[in-house]
Amino acid sequence: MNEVKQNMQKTQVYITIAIIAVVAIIIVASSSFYVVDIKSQCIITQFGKPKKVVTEPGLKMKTPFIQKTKYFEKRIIEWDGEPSDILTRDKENIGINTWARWKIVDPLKFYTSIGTEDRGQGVLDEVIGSAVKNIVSSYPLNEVLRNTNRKLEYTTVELEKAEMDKKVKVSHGRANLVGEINKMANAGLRDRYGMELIDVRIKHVNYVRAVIPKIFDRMRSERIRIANKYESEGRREEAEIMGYMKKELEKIESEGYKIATETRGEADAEVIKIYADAYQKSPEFYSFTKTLETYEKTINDNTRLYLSTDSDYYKYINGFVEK
Amino acid sequence: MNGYGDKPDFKFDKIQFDPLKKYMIPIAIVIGVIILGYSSVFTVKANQEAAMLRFGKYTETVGPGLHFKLPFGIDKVYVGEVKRIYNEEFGYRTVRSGRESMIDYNFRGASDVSLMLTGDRNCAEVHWVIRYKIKNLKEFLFHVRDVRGSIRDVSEAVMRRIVGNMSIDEVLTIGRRKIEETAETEIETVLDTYGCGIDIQVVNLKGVNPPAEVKDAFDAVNKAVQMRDQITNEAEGKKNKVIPAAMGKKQQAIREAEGYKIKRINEATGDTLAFLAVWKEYEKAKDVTRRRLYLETMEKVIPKCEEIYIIDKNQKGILPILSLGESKVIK
Repeated sequence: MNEVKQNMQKTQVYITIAIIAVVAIIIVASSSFYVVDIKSQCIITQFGKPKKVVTEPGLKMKTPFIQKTKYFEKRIIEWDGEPSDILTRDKENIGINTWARWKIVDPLKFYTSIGTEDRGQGVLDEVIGSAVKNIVSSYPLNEVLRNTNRKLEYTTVELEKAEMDKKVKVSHGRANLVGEINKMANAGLRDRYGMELIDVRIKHVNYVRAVIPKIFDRMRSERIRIANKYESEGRREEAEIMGYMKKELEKIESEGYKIATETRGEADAEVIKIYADAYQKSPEFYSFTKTLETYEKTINDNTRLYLSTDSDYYKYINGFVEK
Repeated sequence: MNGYGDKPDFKFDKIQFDPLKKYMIPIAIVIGVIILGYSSVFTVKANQEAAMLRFGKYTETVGPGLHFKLPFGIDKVYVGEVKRIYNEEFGYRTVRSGRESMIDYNFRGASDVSLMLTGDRNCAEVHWVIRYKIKNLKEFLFHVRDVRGSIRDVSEAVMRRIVGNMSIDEVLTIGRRKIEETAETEIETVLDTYGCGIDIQVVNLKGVNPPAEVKDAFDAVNKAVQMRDQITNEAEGKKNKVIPAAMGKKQQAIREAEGYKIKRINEATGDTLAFLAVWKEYEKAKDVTRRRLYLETMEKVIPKCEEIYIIDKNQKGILPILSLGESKVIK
């Protein structure tokens, strides 16, 4: 009876020891093995002091309990800046919004100098913010807005000329300015904080809210001017067409008159010549026959005719003997 | 022992519970195998690929089908739809797509994205969409933390830079194709430098408008263009109607004159031919013909006269004969 009891107690102890051993092994193992994911990098610290940097992913070992892991992002990290109002060199008040992409390139330095990603973002807020302010405020708005000096194209000649008259010159352009911002912000970032800017870009360049109504007014007046121009252009063209039409009309009509009248004149001249040529042959016969003809036409019932007995017609009235 | 000796109840219990005890372990093993099996197998659908990590380290990317992996989180599987085309909308959002899509241009914050400054310091509202595909799943998953955010940021920056280098006219009308093309290549180039593992399929401008506040002025320009065309067309039409009519009239006048000429010359020729013919015969018998013509004429003329006075050649002065009271005048 006692033996059985003792036996039972013994097994219980063994089981307990086994359980404790398993738990201990699990605890030790989980503390000495660790996994570094492809997306992260790791620092091994011993009593808070960094001992080792692990950037290669995989299953790793460390001294249990006294060494601790600290993980950092290995991928490219986003940074989004707060929009800020900046006065450009030509005194234009603009709102600029930038974003950046960065990376932890030296986890050890990053850990010792900054510690957490949030504080890293804070550093960028300062560094990029001041670089943007510096660069943007030392250039006129055109350099921020435009990228190159390309000629802007328009649908109307007038607008194109108006833009040319502004004589906008872009010597640097946005890409270069952004490059400068990048360089300025990136300077010392790696050495001091173990961070690197992959890219900085300007997202928005806009007039500040207070100025926008004025911009709209300008756009409106510009368009109204174009609209008026088109309308008056139409009127001008109309007048031109009408003027041309009248000119053509006068030309055509007078030409018609000219040719017709000339033709008639030619006809009359020809007729004169024809008559003259014929009658020239015997003017005496012509005048004789023509005179007789006119008698027929001119003498009518209104005529009183006085004829002398001398006349050829009545010369026989007093007798037919030849005198 | 409790001293009752016989314990049939206990025996019965033993018989009842024995089979359970006997099968407990195999059942546990079977269940364990099933669980193990489930966590060792995974399927990748036709439009997907899967990237595998073993202890956090990339091993391979597998295509559609049934695949094995090590269980208990040793192998991790990340599935991505590589055949799918993803949309990213800027400055608008599709509320409902389909046959009658509903597109919302005015949601809160839309103009933060769409309103941008052109190179000549005008404002334009640009709405666009980007369609992209995952071209490298490994890069897509493990290179950049916020790929979608990066696509959005890069597109906005690139689009604004392009628009900032163009005139308002180019942005609204003549330069649209160019914007799309430039944006497509530039966005892809930038994203490639990050190693986003995506392929920009297309950049489409959905709508490019002047801001609502000045839209009426822009419409007025269009109306003015139409009006100009209408005015000139009408004038041109009138001209085209009047000029040919005048040309016709001119030709008419000329032809009439030519007709007159022909008529007059023919008449004159006829007259003179007649004269000459008559004259030719007259010349042959001049005296008698002369007399005949004279007398024939007198014969026709004399009867027409109202009064005829024959005066003797010796009579000097004809006044006494005339009755002065008569008003008829000698012509």
